[in-house]
Amino acid sequence: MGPSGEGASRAPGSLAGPGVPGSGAGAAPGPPARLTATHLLRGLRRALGVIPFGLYVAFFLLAPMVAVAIGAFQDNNGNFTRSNVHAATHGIYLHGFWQSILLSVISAVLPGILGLILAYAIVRAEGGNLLRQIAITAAGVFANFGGVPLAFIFIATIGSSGLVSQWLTSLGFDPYNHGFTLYSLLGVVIVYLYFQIPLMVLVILPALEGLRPAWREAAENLGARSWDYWRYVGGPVLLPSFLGCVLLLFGSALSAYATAEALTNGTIPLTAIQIGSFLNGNVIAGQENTGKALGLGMVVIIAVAMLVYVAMQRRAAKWLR
Amino acid sequence: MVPARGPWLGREICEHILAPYKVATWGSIPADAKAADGTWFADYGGYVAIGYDSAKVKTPPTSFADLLKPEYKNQVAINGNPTQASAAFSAVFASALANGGSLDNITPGVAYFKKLHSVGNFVPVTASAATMESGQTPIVVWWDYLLASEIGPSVKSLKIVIPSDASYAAYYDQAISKSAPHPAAARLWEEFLYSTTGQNLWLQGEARPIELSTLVKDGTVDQAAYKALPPAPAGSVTFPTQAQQAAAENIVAQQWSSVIG
Repeated sequence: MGPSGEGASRAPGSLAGPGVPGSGAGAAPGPPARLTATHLLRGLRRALGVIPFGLYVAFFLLAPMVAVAIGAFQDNNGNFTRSNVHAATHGIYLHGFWQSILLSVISAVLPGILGLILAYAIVRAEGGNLLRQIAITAAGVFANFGGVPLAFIFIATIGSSGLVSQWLTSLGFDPYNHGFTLYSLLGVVIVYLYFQIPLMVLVILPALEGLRPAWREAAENLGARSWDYWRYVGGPVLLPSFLGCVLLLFGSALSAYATAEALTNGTIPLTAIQIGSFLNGNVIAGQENTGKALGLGMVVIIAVAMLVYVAMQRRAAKWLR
Repeated sequence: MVPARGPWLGREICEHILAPYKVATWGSIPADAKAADGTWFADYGGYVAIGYDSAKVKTPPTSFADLLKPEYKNQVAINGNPTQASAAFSAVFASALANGGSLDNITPGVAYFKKLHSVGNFVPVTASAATMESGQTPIVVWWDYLLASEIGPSVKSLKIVIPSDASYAAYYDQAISKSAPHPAAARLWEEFLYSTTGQNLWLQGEARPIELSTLVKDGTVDQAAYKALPPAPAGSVTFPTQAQQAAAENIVAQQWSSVIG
């Protein structure tokens, strides 16, 4: 490494070239200026790959978020008001927030566990690569299958006049006479399982494949049983990824609209559907800013969930640092 | 030309975007179905009605009270979410009138649907020709003209009856835009719509034209099309004012999601 500007910039913390004595306070302006420009260019080149994504995030995530946040505090004439946020945090809309959170938590944790078990079965199965490929493809299809067609599938199967319901009735047991109904929070959870479990399988498979068999063998050599292995080795390694996936499922369930709307048509309070009533349709007009206040509430919920996730992540990944 | 619902537009909006025009048959349009200054005027509409598939529903329902009976379990639906679809909202309004409510008070309507759900008769999906055909929603509470024109063609055994305990009607409106590029053509079109030919065309489309009573009185009505309509309830119809509508919308927005949970 010679006394060149290039060499100097490669050594962290030593901007002055090693062969330039007395540099710093008394250094000539030439070499440091070149170093700064090189730094800048280098930084720019590194950032170039991120700029398109940054623009995309700015236009489609940050800008709408700011617009919603501003609109939540405006009335129809653009003046500042707290009434929208007040309406959004009381009464039926507060109830909607709680129901949405409850639905999202159940629709995140339950598929999280089931998906983890399913993914583990796929990783450990005898079929090898072929089974894995089929499972990944199928999971990819089902994870993205939502909305009205999904609601229709379930209505046609276990709805009030669905195929399975009618078959069970012909056998003498009508589920709708015994308190079951698809058109309730329980029903929405069941329908959400359909795409949440494959989504979990899809995102946790790489983490499971990252569990080296060597670790298991090493643990067994030290006398660990299956439970010990999972408690001390497998579990801690998987936990950060598992938490991240559950957060993803939480967000997916919280923001799902079309499926719940097709199933219930607004008869159970869910925030996404309530926002739809303000922005959609020809009944309620002129109250879009209350809808924006509800949207701001959802942003806050996700922000809190992410903070909880980051805190849990730091604890879970402590041993990795 | 702007087909819309007049009471939905605020007065300021009316003055700003609509050009007033009174058709030749202006006098035949009832007073509460038009703006006094001629900015909007009703054209066609109908009543909230109960449509049922007579092949699957053995006991014909005739009123909202009937629909609560146990033989209609898992059979009754409306066309969508009342906080988003005005057809569904009108069904709730009509059921309010049938249960002691009024144009000022829609709360009994939401309570009625809550009861309908608790006895197990209400199916919350959006009713359509497909859901009636498949047998999922053999009974649909919807506009009479939409039942006839949307479901009638595919469900031959459809019967339409206007509930005996509630008569709630709503009409669409016509208006001419202030910035219309061809205002004379727009006015000519309005004259056609409100001529005998135009009004009878709506009748043939299984809707009720606004000047129906005048047509019947003058004998110029298309008799075959008129007989095909479900018999209208006696007495005149009152439309809710804009203030009543707004108040009812707010109540439904607040209370509809308590119907099931």
